[in-house]
Amino acid sequence: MARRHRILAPIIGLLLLLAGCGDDAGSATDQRAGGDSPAGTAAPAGPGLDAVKSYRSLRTPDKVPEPAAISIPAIDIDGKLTKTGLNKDRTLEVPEFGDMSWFAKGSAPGEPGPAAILGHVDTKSGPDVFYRLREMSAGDTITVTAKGGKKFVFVVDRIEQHAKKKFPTEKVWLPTAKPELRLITCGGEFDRSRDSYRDNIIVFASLR
Amino acid sequence: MSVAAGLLVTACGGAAATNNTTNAGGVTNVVNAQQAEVTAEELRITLERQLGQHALLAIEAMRAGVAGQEHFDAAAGALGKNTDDLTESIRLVYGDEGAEKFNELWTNHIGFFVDYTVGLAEGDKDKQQKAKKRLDQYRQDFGAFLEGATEGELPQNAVADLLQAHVDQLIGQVEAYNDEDYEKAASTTREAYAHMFATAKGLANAIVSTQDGFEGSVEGQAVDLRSSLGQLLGEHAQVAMQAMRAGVSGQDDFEAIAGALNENTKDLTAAISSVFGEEGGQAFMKMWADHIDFFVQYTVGLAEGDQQKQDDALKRLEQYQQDFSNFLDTASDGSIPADVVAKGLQAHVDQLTSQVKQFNDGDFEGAFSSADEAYNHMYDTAKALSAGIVAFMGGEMPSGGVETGAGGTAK
Repeated sequence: MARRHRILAPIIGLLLLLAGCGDDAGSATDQRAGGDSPAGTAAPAGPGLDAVKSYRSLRTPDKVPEPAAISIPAIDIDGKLTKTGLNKDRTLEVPEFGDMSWFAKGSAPGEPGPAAILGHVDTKSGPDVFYRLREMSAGDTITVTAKGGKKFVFVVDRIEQHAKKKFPTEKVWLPTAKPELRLITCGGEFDRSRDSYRDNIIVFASLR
Repeated sequence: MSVAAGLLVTACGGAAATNNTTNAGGVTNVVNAQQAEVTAEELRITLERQLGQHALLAIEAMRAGVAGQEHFDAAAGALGKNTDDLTESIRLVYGDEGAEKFNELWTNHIGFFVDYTVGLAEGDKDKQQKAKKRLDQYRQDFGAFLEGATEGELPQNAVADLLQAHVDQLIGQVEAYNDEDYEKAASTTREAYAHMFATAKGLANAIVSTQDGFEGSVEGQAVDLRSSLGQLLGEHAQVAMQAMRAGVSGQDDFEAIAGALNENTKDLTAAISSVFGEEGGQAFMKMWADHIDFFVQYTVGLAEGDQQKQDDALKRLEQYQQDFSNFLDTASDGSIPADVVAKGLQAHVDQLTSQVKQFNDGDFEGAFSSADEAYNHMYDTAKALSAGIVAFMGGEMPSGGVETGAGGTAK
């Protein structure tokens, strides 16, 4: 109980100071005058020092396994993931038609950083896996299942459409200290002279 | 010069023309011509740094209070300085009238937390209940203040809800500490600190959307990165210092604090891995863990009065400064220059060793003053580090748009 009583004088001092009675009350330190712990001496090292001496800081990072599958109930997507990387010109490799791919040179979904999953909006003959990506809205959920079964649920923050010529590189790829996810496909007008859509549709999501 | 000091000097220096208007909440908005030099980013970072520090210092003071530790006065003094800093930031936006109102409400709520702590220390349930009721009233009063100040951008009820989490976290941690559930106290502290960053971001957004003169945006990938690194590095400094103080005085909560430090190290490593890859992240973690261990070795030397052990630890920290600076320089292709990092690390080492030495000598005021420098220094480090990362990433990110369509559905 001794330690309980020692608190009261300094705290009352503070209360008086907070109440604007500082001049009359004297300093909080003064309120402790006569206490049994004179200034100039910290508490001596007690038995707790053994714990300090044996302490070693952590050296093993958390490892998030590679993603295996993705599920987006709002647009009826539920399928496995493949892996893609970078082309020689540093543009993104794209998945085969019908596939959804994780950009494996970037963060894994669930670990800090912007993880990205790509899919085609259409083939030459009709809709493909990310055809309905444009229908998503803020608050929709995306579940990525990692190898081993751990699930990461992301919540959509916003959907943006940008001309490929003005792709928001920093917005999509700059590191983040928290786990984030981007889903990317094509959108906008189809430029038949280039055989390419003019825009990209990007879904930005954060780990729930 | 710290970010805040820069912000305040920029905003408050000189005799600027002002245009005062009074809004429905009775708070005069001061649109300062020199405010134009203050960016939305600096406003957000400053509020995050100051509100984050408020939570951490309030927690330190409450624990020192409930446990009757000698450094209570110094912790309360540091909390008072933080209130002064916050008040100056509010003055920048809302002028003297707003600053005074803020200061009154803010100081009161600290007093209510102290009331609760006294009730807990005395086992007086009635006193605890009264303090909680006053905190409830404060939530409403402060909510009304911010709703008025931000012209309704921050509704009273939303602010009151945010404050409820703050109240729950601060009371929860001191109760856990009093029950000697130090792990829970440490994990709740992490939550309380993180909560202030969401609060600060919301407040900065509301201020920028209702006040003229703030250049740039509160949000964006680069400022988010700077904010996250500031949060993690500020927490690193504060928790490392708490661990060193708990260590040198042989307190029972050392292991729980050290556990929180490990969690912070994991988060920092993950952030660094997202920049330099898995291998880079592992190299970072090893060096980072080493430097924490060297601080702990210094602490043990201090506790045992073993000068040789202290000198050895300082030598290792010197070597760490070189190794870590070179690592960041090499990994970032020179975007994070070694000499800049080394200089920053020297300050970090000086601040952390000074504060524990002062604490051990019973100079608690000096210890908290050094701790204040150490905490704020981390936000300058985060600014430099995030700028270096953004520069480095310019050559590392994928290029251009993505070809994910063949036109089969195009009309």
